[in-house]
Amino acid sequence: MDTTNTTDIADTADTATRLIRQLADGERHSGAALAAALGISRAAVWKAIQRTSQQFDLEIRAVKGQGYQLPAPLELLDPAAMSARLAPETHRRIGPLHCFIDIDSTNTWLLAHSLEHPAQGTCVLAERQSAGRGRRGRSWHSPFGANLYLSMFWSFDAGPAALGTLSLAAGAALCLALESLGIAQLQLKWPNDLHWQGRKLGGLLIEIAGETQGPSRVVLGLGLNLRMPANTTTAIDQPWVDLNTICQSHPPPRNTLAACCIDQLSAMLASFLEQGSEPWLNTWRRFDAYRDQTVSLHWGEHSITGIYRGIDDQGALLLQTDGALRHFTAGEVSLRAAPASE
Amino acid sequence: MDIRKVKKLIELLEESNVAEIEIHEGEESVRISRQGHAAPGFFMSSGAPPAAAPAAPGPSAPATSEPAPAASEPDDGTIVRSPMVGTFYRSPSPGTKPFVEDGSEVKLGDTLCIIEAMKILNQIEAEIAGRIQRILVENGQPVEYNQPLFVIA
Repeated sequence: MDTTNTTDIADTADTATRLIRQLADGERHSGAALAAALGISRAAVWKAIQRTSQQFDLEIRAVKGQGYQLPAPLELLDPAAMSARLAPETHRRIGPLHCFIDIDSTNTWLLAHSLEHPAQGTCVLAERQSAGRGRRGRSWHSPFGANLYLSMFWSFDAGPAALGTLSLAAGAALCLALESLGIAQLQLKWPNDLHWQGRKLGGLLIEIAGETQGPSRVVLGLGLNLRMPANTTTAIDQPWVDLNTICQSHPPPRNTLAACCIDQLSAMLASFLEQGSEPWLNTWRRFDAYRDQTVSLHWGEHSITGIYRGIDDQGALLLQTDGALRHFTAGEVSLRAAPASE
Repeated sequence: MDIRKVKKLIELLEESNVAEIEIHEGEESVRISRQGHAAPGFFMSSGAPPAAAPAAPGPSAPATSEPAPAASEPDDGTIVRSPMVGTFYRSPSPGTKPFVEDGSEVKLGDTLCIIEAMKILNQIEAEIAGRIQRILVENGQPVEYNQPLFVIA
């Protein structure tokens, strides 16, 4: 890929960004060294530390008389490194990679720019989202430099009615990406929550705009927990896990992880209409985690409890209630503790 | 719920002065409401097949109903229908302002609502410009394929 297509964080010349780049190695840096590197006074360094810490909600430790240090090294997003790790065929499929240091939400940005005819496969990544979103008003906790926040644009000639199974296909493609990095025991909860040992590892949010008969402007957003800071436990309302925990403190490098996700998601999007959803639904079934368990499905003010029986060939959830098997295309699944006798 | 029963309910409503009937049977419920000249809005709250989409023609204007103001003659309006089965949302997220209100002027491409299906949030855009004459579905309610959502005149 032409690297002129990328927006590198290094191009943003503001002091906060340059300061973070200096500190990213996780080593201790003296005020004097930072002042020299940034071309500012030592007093300005102190101010910049305060401001940066506040602006990005980033912990920077100050050791009196010795300098400043991040609690752990940060691998910053690097479009050139990411691009170099993409599969060769991905370069032909995707558009530019935009990396932002701080954004409201990668999905919001891409959806807002989707009317300007972005290139197929345009990707937006961010170090931090100030208003990361989940489904319907839920927030997605998005601390600085810790995880993966990635959105991809794709335009389809078809209308949204033909794209319903995209939701499950994206979940399946995400599992394939992580499997290619050696991560095992991945689970999917309908339609596309990514779990590991029953804890949430990542989520996908697909938004579609366009006319009912097409074309459709699709924004596929991914949030994947890589190295969640220890002090953020209370900000998430459900059991969660990150790759750092799963990989026993040796998770894949962040730019490699991003490249693998872009490879698999773009491959799925490029072949989706032509190939049909069946292969993706079969892949999805391989990760189907909660089959034959008692679950509740909630939508609007309604809810229904039954035994989850997998998905049908349209990707709809199958729920067995009172002997009847019902198909659902909307709603949110909540898991109930399986009966002890099972 | 048996489609014949639904048909019966529609006939019952047409013959009466009742504006709306709601019936619950176990997990299923059906609500049929009279909305002037427009087709009766009805939906089933279970995973009903698309065949349950409102197929019955709307009742002719009951003699007792007030004449519609000339400015908002529904027959002149274009009905915006749901392109899919899903959940209808009037605003981008809970607690935020609806995309459109009764009487809103909309331009081509303006977002009218979101229909969520399979956790995909589908922004439904206006395919004609005009004024929102009627909003036929309540926020958060399930909609069937081809169900009327808005009347734009």
